[in-house]
Amino acid sequence: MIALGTAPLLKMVYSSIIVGVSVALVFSIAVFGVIRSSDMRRASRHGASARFAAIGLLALLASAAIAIAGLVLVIHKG
Amino acid sequence: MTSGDIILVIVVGTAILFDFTNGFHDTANVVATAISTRALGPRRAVALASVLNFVGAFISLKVAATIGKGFVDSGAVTTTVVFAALVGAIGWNLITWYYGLPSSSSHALIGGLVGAVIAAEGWSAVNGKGLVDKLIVPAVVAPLIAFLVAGTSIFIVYQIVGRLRPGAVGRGFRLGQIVSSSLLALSHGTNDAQKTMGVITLALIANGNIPAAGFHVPNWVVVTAASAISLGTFTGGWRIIKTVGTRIISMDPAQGFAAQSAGAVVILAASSVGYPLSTTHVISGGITGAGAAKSVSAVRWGVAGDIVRAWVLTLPAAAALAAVVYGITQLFGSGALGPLVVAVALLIGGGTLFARRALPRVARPVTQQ
Repeated sequence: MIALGTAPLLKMVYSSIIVGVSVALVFSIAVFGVIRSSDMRRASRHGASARFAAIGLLALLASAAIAIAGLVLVIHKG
Repeated sequence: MTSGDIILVIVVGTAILFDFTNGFHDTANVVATAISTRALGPRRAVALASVLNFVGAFISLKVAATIGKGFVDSGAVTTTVVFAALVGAIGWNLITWYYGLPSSSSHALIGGLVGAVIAAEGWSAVNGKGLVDKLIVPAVVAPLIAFLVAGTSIFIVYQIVGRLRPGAVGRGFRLGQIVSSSLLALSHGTNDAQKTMGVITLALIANGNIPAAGFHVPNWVVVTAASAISLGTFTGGWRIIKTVGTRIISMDPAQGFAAQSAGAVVILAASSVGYPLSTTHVISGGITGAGAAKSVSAVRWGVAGDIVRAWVLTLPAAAALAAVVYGITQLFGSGALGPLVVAVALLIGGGTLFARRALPRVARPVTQQ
């Protein structure tokens, strides 16, 4: 049985871990995608460059979405 | 105007001063990592943090409610008790600022409140369970979570981008740091400005301006607290920036991003459940985690140890200061004279400390500090 006062603490812990690690993961993929796209473009591999650019863009959008969703959640809870 | 009203005016003025020192003292930590990795210049970082602290103060009121109702019996709180709490917290803030230690303004405030209530009404007016559940346990857990999240994040980051061109990776994460700094500043405004809102509201309840049963924070209190913390942030706190940004570890932009992101998510998650956390605790946990994940020896554990010692001292030291201040005000009777005398003494003492420590620094370029 969860003692009184533990549930909010657990919520803070798991939401911090999930959101924090997810942001780092998807933003790293964004940086990876953009840099690899640039490398491929320099090597004249335009197809691969476009694919990496798409990965970078999607990851960047996902990073923004996680940040915005987190803020919206806090505003609605507050 | 009754003596209660005069004390209320002094309390609101002191609370605004506390909020200003909170911005001056705490918020520098928010921008320290972005400055140390050159993601942002000092002036731009401080200006950005100042604006976002103001905005963040409007996001939530759960922490204000915890301060107002969670730690002490609001029936035992008088305006003089709130005044003594604020002076105890400001006094401790000034002492730690003087010695360059990033302690917690939040815990100083709560310690001050508890100390003043104990001096006025005894231990029975303190909500021990509230203190443990909503302050002490989160105060220990949150920096550890920030440490864990930042450490895990930087491990993942290096796995993904570790073999790419370092210059390009650095540029990418510097851009990311602008966003993570902004989120951290916003989260700081959300959590820290609310503490002052909670204290002013407590004083309004004690003076009978707001009914105790219907706890709510008036809009003018929200705007005033937001403005004070924002102005304090803009004024800056270069001594603390130096300690947190460069003395704990030397960071690369990816580490700065991981530390700030970890700090922001932990503070926002805590705000959503009403925990009054310290930004200083959390960001220091994040920085140490990001450093330790890369190399345990990269962390200057001695400095981290000094910071932990300051944290451990904060609650009892601020409580003791507040209890002494309450005792001094009672020497002048229960009217407004005691708080007035202490407020003047605080202005003179604080101004002297500030002049001794801050003014010579203003005369030197930032790079030589």
